Amino acid sequence: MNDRLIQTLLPIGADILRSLMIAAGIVVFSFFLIRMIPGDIVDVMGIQGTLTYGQQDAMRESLRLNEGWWSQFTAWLGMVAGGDFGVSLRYGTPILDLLRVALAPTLILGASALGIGLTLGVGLPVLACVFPKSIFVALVQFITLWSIVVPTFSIGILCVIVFAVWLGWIPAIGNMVVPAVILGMDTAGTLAKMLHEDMVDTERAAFVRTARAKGLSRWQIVLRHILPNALTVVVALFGILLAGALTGAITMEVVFGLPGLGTLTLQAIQGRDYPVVQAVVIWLGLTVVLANLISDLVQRSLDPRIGR
Amino acid sequence: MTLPALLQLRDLTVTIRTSNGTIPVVRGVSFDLFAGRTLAIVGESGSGKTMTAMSVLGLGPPGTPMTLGGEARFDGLDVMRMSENEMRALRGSRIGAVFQDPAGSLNPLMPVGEQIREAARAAGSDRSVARTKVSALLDEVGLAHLPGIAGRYPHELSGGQQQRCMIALALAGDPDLLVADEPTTALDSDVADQIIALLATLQTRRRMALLFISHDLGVVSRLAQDIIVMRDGQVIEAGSTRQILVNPQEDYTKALIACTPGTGGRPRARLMTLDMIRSGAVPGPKRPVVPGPVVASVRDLTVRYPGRGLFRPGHPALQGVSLDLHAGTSLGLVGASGSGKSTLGRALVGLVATQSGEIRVNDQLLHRNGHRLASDRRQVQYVFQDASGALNPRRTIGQSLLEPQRIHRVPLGTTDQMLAEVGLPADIAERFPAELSGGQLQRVTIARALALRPACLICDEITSALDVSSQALVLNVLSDLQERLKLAILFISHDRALVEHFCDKVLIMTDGRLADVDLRRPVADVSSSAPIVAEPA
Repeated sequence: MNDRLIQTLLPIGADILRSLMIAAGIVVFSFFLIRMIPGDIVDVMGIQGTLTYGQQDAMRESLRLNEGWWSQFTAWLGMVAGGDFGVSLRYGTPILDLLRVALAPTLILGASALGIGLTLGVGLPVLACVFPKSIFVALVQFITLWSIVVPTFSIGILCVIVFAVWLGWIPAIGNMVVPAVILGMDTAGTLAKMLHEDMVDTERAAFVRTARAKGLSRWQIVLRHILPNALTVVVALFGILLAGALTGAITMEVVFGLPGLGTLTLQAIQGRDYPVVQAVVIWLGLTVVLANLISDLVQRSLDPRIGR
Repeated sequence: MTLPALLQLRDLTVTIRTSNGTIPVVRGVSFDLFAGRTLAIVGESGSGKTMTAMSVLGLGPPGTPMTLGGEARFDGLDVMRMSENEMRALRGSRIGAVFQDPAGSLNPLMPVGEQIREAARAAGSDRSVARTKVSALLDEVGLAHLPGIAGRYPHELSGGQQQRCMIALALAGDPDLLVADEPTTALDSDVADQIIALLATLQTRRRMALLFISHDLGVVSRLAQDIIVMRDGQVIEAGSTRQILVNPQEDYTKALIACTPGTGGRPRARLMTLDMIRSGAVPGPKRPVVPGPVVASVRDLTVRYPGRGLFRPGHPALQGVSLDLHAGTSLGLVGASGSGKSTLGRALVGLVATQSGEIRVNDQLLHRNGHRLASDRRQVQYVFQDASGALNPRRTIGQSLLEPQRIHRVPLGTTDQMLAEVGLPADIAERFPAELSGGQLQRVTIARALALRPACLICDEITSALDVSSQALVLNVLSDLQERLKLAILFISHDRALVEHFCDKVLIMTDGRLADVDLRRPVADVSSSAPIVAEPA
């Protein structure tokens, strides 16, 4: 029994360890990646013509940007380890306060997009499997094609023009429903395509024939036998889907003028507000790592064959 | 008998629609199966035996439209006119089914007890009744002694245990008829024997009718009172088991009996084939072979498969294996799946690295990491189980046959001659693998393996995907070639009767270790159709 416990816990520990290593990698990369773009915040302000050369030098010194990357990195790492992400170079406010304000719209947008995506992306293939000759099969194909062919930002701009400018149904800035639906459709398409194909494959499996031979109803066969077996593949992709929803949320925020993480990040990158960019990248990265870890663990609990 | 038959088929036809048009797979089959009796349908793959049985259950292959004709009555009910919902009420509760592949037939994500419980619920048992039924059924199929069996997942069970669970599942609705479609084909012969015994016991105890489908007359003769021999969707011969086995009327039935290895009689040099029966030829008795010099030798070979990922221990596949292969002889290697017999073959050709021990071919010590010189590779060739997978589907047979010679830069032979060696017509060289039968494909891969004139041939389950008459052809071709070319053959198989027919010496492998076998051990005689005694499970 004890042996068995170790056998189950060991791979989970390995998963967690791997996630921690990736997280550490993200922290390091976020620091150096943003510094690879030429020019720092002082240059940006200098180009805008607000600072003299003397002021620029003084500003670099006060922000410690004149020091080498390595000493900046160790200083920053020490701060992050203490849970302090520092102060925005541009606004002078603590970054955690900025994040707190910006997080809400992004979280609401990403979560509702994921919700719509999961509902449509799982619901449609299940219905298409239970009723194989119905409209649902066509709907799965439509939503799949939609997510491949229609980029979210272009349909987003189109929606702003049609619904906000021409029809006046929604405000041009600050609407949540339309971007959530657009992102949800996108996620649903990816999910529905994979799940539908997996379910069609699983349909041919011998254990589905066994289920039919038992005399189970079509719904029982699909929900208890086909779906769980097809889902194991999809669960593994949950982390990627979440990453897609988050990055999609960032573009949607910019298109629909939402004051979320996306808008904050875009401004921070353009203004070379290093600590803000680093903080956002770390937060998003850790979310995706966490989602991947969770999907691994869920998959492990769904499929008894993994990790033995 | 005045009672009407439980299952009555009259002129049953089954047509499937594929992209290449409609194909009749069952063409006018009629039979009666009475309550409490066992009827076997015997035939080769593609004979329509499975389709006949599945049409009774209303279970066609998914995605392939099936049209039924004729009449099928189960307990007086017209199965053909029933709606899907009415059929569903029949399936599970009145007709149970057991299938060929027990590992695939169980849902991998559900504990077996839960799957049996679900079947009992679907057949109309109450929640509490279904729960007690699960343990009763597991006891009935002889699995009760395993602790926590109901909570185990299919992958935690052996093939035999999986098939026992499948049988428990099929019995969950206390059916009047059990359809068993090749239930032992995927199992090792010892385990298959136990399953047959179990089915026999259950059938008698429950007084249910059993429709047993198999390609193996040896298996069938131990269970069935009546046999139907099918070929190309038609009934060739029908009668009592004794009548069919002792006094077969049709050439095809005779061939089917004769070309099954181990079906009684003296060991012969060659297996009977349909052509031999028709021409009245009988192969001569088996002659003892004189072993030639040692071609390949293995000493204390150890192979460990690494575990996947961090912190995962590996598992040993071979633990100190030693053997010698002599020119002109066949060494049989039997063992359950996972026992390491294929690993040994793979280690010989360098497909897996070895941890310790040595492999010598023609007295040359071979590299431990699996690295082989071109000249080493030429000496040992491998024939795989899945012939259609071993041939590139986009190359003609001729291109595939000449490839080894191109790779090794030796003068190209003619495909005509290579094909003639394995008894195939020359025009096959122009065709693609998809156009040939399984038996033809396997002979092509043998011809290709022999293209470089190796000293040693490794045959890994080469006939397990073939039916008995193709198997006889392939093995006869191999025997001819061995005599002529003085080949050393390592013959890997899980079918003991087959290995004992073909090989001069047999080794048994269990958990990566070898043991000798006495070849003089009598093989089960199928001509005696006495009912077998159930083994205590």
